[in-house]
Amino acid sequence: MSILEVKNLSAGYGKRLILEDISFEVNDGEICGIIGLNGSGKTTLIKGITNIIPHSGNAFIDGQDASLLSSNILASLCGFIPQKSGISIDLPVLDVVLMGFNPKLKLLQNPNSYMISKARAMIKTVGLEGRENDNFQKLSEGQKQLVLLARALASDSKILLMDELESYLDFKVRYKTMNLIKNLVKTNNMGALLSMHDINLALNTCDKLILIKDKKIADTIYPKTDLVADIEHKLSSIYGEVSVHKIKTDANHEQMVMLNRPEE
Amino acid sequence: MRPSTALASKHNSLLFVVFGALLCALFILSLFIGKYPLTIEGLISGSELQWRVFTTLRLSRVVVGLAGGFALGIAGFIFQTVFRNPLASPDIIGVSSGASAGAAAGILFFSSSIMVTLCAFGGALIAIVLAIAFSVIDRGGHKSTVVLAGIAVHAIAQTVLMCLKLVADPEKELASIEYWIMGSLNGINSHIIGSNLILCVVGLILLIMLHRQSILLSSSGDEAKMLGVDVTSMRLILLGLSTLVVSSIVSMTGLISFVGLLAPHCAKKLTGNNSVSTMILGGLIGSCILILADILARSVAATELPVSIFTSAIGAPFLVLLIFQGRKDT
Amino acid sequence: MKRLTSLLLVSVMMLFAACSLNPGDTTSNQDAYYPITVTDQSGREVLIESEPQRIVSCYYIPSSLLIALDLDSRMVGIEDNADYRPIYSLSAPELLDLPNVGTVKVFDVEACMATEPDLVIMPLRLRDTASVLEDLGLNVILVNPESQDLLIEMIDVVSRATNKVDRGQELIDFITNTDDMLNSLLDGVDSHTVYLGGNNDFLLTSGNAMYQSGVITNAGGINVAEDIDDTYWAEVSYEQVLAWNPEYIIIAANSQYTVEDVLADENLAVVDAVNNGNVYQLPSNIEAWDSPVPGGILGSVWIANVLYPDLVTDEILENTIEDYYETFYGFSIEA
Repeated sequence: MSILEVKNLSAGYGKRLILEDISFEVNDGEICGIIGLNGSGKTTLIKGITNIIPHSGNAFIDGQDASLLSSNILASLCGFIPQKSGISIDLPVLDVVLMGFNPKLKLLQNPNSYMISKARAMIKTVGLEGRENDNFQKLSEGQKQLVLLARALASDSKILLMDELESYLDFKVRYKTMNLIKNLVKTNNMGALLSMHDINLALNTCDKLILIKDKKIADTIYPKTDLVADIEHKLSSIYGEVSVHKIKTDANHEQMVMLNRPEE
Repeated sequence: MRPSTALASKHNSLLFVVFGALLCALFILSLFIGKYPLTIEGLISGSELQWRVFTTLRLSRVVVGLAGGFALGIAGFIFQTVFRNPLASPDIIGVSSGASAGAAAGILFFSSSIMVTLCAFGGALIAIVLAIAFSVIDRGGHKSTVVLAGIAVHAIAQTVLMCLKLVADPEKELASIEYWIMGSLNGINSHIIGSNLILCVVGLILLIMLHRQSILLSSSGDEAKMLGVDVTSMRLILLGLSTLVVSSIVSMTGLISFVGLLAPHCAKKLTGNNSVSTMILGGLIGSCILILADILARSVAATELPVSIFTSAIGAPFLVLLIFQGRKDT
Repeated sequence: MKRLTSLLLVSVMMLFAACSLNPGDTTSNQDAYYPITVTDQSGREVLIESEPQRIVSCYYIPSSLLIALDLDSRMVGIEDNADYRPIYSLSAPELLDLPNVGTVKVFDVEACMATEPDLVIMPLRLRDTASVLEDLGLNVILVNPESQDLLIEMIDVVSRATNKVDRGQELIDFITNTDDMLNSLLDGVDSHTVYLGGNNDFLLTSGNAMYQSGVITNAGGINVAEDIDDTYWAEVSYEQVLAWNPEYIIIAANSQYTVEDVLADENLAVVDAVNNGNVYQLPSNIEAWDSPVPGGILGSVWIANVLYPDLVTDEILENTIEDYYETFYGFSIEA
């Protein structure tokens, strides 16, 4: 079943269109990556879907038209994880996670004890048990991303939207976090849409990659089923001369790598 | 009580006890300092004149000191949180200068005290809208933008003020305008505080209840939007309410500098977080500072001195300290 | 002939003054006189139950009036910076020791209450504060001595409120008589032009609407700035002063510059007044006669003496001043 269906979406800032006529779907249990060069509109796509910027066309989340939803319902359906949180004041980790319950609370209401215990459970899920009262500001960037992930999960959202999640994470944490997201998506029947920089990470963790070029979806890659040659061909249209290889790791796991083909 | 604060609650309740006791002591001390010889015996004996002076003048003045300091502390907290800038406060954002330009216009064109209040609020509101508008122009969303916007608003308000001063009659309105800008609790009496105080208290209660919303706004705009916050209107509500409580006080007292910056910072340094109890603690500290400054303003010299002399004397070095600390962080 | 009339006038005035010194009439008929309702200069009706014994004034003009009405001994509070005005130390030095109740800008309600007054005299602009004092049970009279007519009205209101009607009338008579004397002495005179330099800056002057302009015209002068209708000191340029080319320059009593400064100012070197050395400063050793104090009319006499020394002689000037301060303030002027 499709969790997210984007139909003929065009979006931009002011009169300048960044994206034109984008259509795709994300199904439940699926992780979909958005790939493209810097400035190709990866972040714009997420903002268009979540109604943050003006756009034409539709995005249906769990069957409902996002642009018709109240900000509260939209917020509870989407777990949004920004590239970097704007929080710049001293807050305990638990309070940051509790922010995720806002769509379910009335204006003057405070989180109840059920929400607090759920927030603690989410903090445990992302592996930060015991850090509930630590100052969010003092955490490493990787830990901050995990806290934001816990916050995004708090509201029983249907789809996780992440904007360049990996850019502040170091190599090891990237894979760890992606695996965590993969498990969460599978067990909670959610979908995930991530804009990504790291192609190798994307090829090895996403179920589906959409390639954005010249305001449009240039191609879609299914890393698990597509032939390596096809993948290489599709990626070349964005990155120029590249080669993609499937290699086996020590534990006999297959991994894909994209390498730059040096110019002669 | 939220568990996140429960761990630190022992520390917090100690802080509340300390500042609550300090505030009570200053409040009572302030009730019995002044030119008119009020005595506890006189009040107990039921002297009508003593009671009249006590309620009309002394109590009103101290209550405004209490409410004013609290309001500035709470409003400062909101400004700093919503603008995501530790330097944001009614002074820095230009709200205070907007209020003074508005009050000057009120003094000049209407002269009734209600109109001065309304004009001060109007001026403050225009200033904050301008500050937001200027900071929106910079799409980069740098944290310093709002301070720069505040400087611009301040400059505009000063220009308006200068023009108003130019047309003011120096013996009459100019004197009131200048006295207003200096700020003093001297003119406070029970005649003028009623409606302003109600406005202030209602605004403060709402602001405390909206604490969670202010924290949500402390994340970036898109982030808050995706947490289900109607960012634009919530910002306007919070800043509008803060402006309202500030101008309800400063329209009676004139400008009071630095309390709005100082008090919430002290509270945050002491608790290390931004919980609702930190917000209220900031209010208590604001009340302590203002009542103390007012005690000094009316007792160090034979005549009344502007209260901002004392709040600034404490505030200015603190501001410099903050700037240097901020530099170390980045 | 004119000199004769003037002498006659002065002697009539002195006679009046002598009569007023008749002891006993100051507190006579107290029981019959009070209660009395007076209408102050804001139009408020003030009911005074009995003769005020503890009076506070927070403005130097009514303070000076209280001395002239022989009420200084009943004053219990005075405006801030009282030592700045020599009239107090000359006439009633004990006033300088009274508690100060603040200024017109910063009135200190508590300090005023602490003096336990039964009558407070304050300027019109403190109207709001007056209602607070009234609620605290005090009688307040608002005064507004912004012109000679309003000054006379103020004298009338305050003297009626304090049962000093006779004394007040003497003061009013002195003012009107002196005014009349100047008018008759200067009748038909060829008027000189005068530029008045303000307190804070030479290039601030008084337009037609200001009290100070009346001081010049009463003295038979023509205010060169009479076309300006600002109600407060108006700023002018050197060029404007040169264009006016006044015959006389008078500078305000409490000005922050001196006659020498004006004479030495090269920008003014071609002005007639400067060329002929006709630059004078109103004296400040008693009161600033260019402000609407009860003795403000003396400013006109003084300027008339400068402009027309043959008509308003030094003798007339000295006699008028001496008479005024001896009669109303009880001290004699040493030459």
